[in-house]
Amino acid sequence: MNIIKRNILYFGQFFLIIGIAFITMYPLFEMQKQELHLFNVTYINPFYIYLTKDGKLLYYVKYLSWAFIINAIFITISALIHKYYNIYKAEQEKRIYDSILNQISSMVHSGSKLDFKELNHSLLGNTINNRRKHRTTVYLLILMRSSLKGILRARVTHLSKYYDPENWIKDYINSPFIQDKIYSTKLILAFGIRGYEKKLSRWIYSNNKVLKKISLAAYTQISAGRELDFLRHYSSKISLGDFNIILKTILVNGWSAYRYSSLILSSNPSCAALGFAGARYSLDNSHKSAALIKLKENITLEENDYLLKKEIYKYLISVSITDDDQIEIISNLATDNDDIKLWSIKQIRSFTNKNLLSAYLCSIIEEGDISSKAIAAKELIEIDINALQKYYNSDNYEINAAFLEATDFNQ
Amino acid sequence: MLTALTYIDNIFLTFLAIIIILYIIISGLSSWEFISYFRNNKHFNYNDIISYPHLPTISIIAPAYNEQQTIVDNIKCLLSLNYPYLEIIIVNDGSSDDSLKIIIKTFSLIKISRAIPKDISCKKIRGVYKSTNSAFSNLLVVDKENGGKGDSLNAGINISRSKLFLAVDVDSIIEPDALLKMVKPFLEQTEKRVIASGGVVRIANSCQIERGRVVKVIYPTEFLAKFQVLEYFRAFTLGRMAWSRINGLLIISGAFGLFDRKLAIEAGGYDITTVGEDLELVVRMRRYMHEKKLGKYIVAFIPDPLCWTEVPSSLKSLYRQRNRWTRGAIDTISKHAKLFFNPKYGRMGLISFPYWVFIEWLGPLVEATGLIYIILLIVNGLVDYSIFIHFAIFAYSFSLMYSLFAILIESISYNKYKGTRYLANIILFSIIEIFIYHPIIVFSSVMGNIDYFFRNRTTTWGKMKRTGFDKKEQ
Repeated sequence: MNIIKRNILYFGQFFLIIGIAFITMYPLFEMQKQELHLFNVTYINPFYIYLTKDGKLLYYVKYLSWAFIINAIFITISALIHKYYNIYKAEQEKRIYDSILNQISSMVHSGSKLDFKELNHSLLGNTINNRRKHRTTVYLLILMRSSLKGILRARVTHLSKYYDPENWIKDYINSPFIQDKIYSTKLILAFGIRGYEKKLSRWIYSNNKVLKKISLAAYTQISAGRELDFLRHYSSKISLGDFNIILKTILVNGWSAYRYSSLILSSNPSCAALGFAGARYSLDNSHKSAALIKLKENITLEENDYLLKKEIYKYLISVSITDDDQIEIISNLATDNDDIKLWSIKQIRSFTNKNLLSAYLCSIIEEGDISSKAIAAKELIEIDINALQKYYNSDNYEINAAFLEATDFNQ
Repeated sequence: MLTALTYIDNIFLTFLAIIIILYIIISGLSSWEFISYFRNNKHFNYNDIISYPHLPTISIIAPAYNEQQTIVDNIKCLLSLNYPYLEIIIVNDGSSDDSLKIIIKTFSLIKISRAIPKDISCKKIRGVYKSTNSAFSNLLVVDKENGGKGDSLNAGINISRSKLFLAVDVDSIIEPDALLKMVKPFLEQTEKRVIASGGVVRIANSCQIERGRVVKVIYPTEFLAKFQVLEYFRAFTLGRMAWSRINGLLIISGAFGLFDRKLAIEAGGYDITTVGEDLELVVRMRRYMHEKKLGKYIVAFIPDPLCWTEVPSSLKSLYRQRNRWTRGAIDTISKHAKLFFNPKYGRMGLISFPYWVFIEWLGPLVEATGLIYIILLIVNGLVDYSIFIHFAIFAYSFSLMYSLFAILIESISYNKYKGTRYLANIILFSIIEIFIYHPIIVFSSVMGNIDYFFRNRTTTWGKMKRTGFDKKEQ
C-alpha cells in the first residue's frame, strides 16, 4: 500500500467519526417535523404523531429511548462480530507465525539450503497478507538473532542481510500511522541502519511512549562508534524506562562502542548519568572534578536525579584509589539523604581505609532509619567484629534490633 | 399537593438526567482511554522489562487468615510471578487453623531476627520466618496477632524494604506478567509522580485453575456470579478507565494494587478502623499529596485483566459484601468530608469525591426512595401510566445499552470469554439484571447505610463463604 492510500485511510477515520455523530444527532431535530426534506424530495414523517403528541419532554424521552434501543442492537451485533473476528484473527496470526517459524528454523538448522530468495518466495509468494507475513518474518529474524549463539546466529544474520530492510523502512517511515512509524524504527534498531537521523531526532520527543522509547534505542544503536550527541542536547525528561532501554542498547554493543565525554556535561540528569556510567566502564578517570561539581549542583529528590547521583558515586568509587579520594566521597555521602546513604553501604565495600568506612557505618547506625541501621550493622561486623561490643547491648531499640538481625546467621 | 408532587418528580428526573449524562461521559472517556492505552502499549514487549538494569524493588504483601486449604498453592503462585526484584511477604493474621504450621513445613521456614520499624502501628508481631531453601529465598512469612486485613498490610509495609508494595488478597490468582504491566507506569512517568497503580480484577468462579493459574476462562455457572461478571465489566472496563483518563481514580481494588511504599507510610498506612481500607488509603494518599504540596501525581490504572478472584455466589455473602462496601464508602466519605467541592484538592475535590458522594453513596438511596415514591403514587392512583411507562423504558433502554457497551469493549479488547453461549448468556443477564440483581445491590446498600448510621456497625467485616479453587482443580 502506498503513502497516499495510507493517508486516505488515516484521515478517513476522522470523517467516519464525524459522520456517525451527524447521523445520530440529525434525526433528533428532524423528527419533530411533519415533513422531511432529503435531496429535494419531501417525505411524510411516519413517526411524527407518535413522537410529538405528548409534548416536548416526552418527544425527547421517546426519541432517546428508541435511539438507545437501536444502539443496543447495533452494539450487540458489533460485539458478536468482534468476538468472532478476534478469534479468527488470532488463529490466522498463529498459523502464519508457526509456518514462518518452521521455515526459518529448518533453513537455519540445515545451513546448506540457506537461500533467502527461496524463503521470500515461499512466504510472500502468495499475494494475501504480505505485510503481516513480512512483519512476522522480520520479528522472528530479530528474535532469533538475539536469542541464538554461534553458527546459528551467524546464519540468521546472513539471512537477515538479504532481507533488504532498508527498502521496507522507506516504505513505512513516512506513513501517518503510528504502528508503521514504530515498525520502521524497530527495523532501524534491529539492523542499525543509518541515514534516518532526522526522523529519529523528531521521534525521540514523540508523545507516543513506545515510539519515543524505540527511537531513543535506535538512535543509540546507530550512534555506535561516535559520541552520543543527540543525548547531550536532549531537552526532554527521560523516564526510567527510556533510560533502561538506552542502557540496554549500549550494553548490547558494549561500553567501548561509544564515547561519553560530552555526555557527562549534559544538563539532562539521565544523560549525564549515562555519561558517568560509560566513563566508569571505560575506566576513564579524567572526569573526577566534573563529577564532584555535579554532585554539588542543586540536585532535587526526583528519580532521574537519584539515578545521576548514584552513577556519579559509582564512578567516583571506581576511580578513587587514594585515601584522600575516599575521604572526599565519604564526606559527600555523609551529607546526603537517607536513601543514598542506604544505597551506598554496599557500594563502598571496596574502600581500603577501613577506619573511615567504620566511622561512616557507625554514623548511619546512630542516625539512619532502622533498615539502614540493620544493613550498616551487617557491613560493620564484617569489617570490625569489635563493633559488636559497642552496640550489642544498646538501650536504643532500633540499634539493638539492627544488631540482632545482623548477627542472626539464619538470615 | 400536585405542585409538591411535581416538585418531587422534577428532583427524580433531574437525578436521572444527571446519571445518564455522567454515564455517557464515562463511556466516552473510557473509550478514549482504551484507544490511548492500546496505542501506547500495543507494540510494547513487556518481557523487555525483565532485562532492564534499573527497576524498583517490589514487595508483595498478602494477608492470610485461616487459609490452610489453599495457602500453599497461593504462595507458589505468588513465587512464580515474573519480576526480577521481588519479595513475597505473607502475613499470617493470627489464624486459628494450621496455616502457619503448613507453610513452615512446606517451605522449610525458620524464625529469624528482623529489625522492624514502627513506621505504622500494627498488632504485635510474633515472629518473622524465612526459608532455608534457596529456591524460596525471597519469601518472608510474618506471624502476628489478629488485627484484620488493614492491620496485616500495615505489618507487611513495616517489614518491607522495597520501593513499591503490591497489596493482594492471598487467595487471588495473579497473571504471571501482572507485575510487569503494573510497574510500567512507574517506569514511564517523567512529569508526574505515580503514587499507585491498579489493575483489573476478573471473576474466577467456574474458571479452570491449574497450579494456581487460570488456564481456561469460563463464564460462571452460578446465577449471581453471572451478574457480577457484567458488573465488573462496567466497573473496571468503563468506570475506572474513565476516571483514570482524567486522573480522578479514588479506588484501587483491595485485591490487587501497587503503591509507593514511602508515600503510603508518610500518609499513615492503612486505616484499621474502616472496612473500606482500599478506598480510604487512595483518598488519603491523594489528600496527602495535595496538603503537603508534593507536586503533580497520578493514580494509574491498567485495563489488562491481571488478577482473578472468587466472588460471592450466595445471596447472603453478596449481601454482606455489598453492605460492607457501602459502609466503607460512607466511612471514607465522612472521614474526608473536607474534600467535598474543595478546589484546593483539584479534580479529586471537585469531581471524583462529589461523584462518590452523589452516585456511589446517595445513588442507591435515591433509587430506593424513588421506588417507594412510585409505589405510593400507584396506590393512591396518582400515576399517569403513559408518562411512567415512557420514562421506565427510557431508563431501562439506557442501562441496557450501557451494559452492552461494556460487553462490546471487552469483546474488542481482551475477549477473555469465548463462545456464542457466553455472549447469549451475558446479553440475557444484562436484560434481566435490572429486575433481579440490581434490587439486591440497592437493598444491600440501603441496609449498609442503616447499619452504619443506626446500628453502629462501622467496622464489622462479616464472613464470605468461599468455594475455593482447590475443589475445582481436582
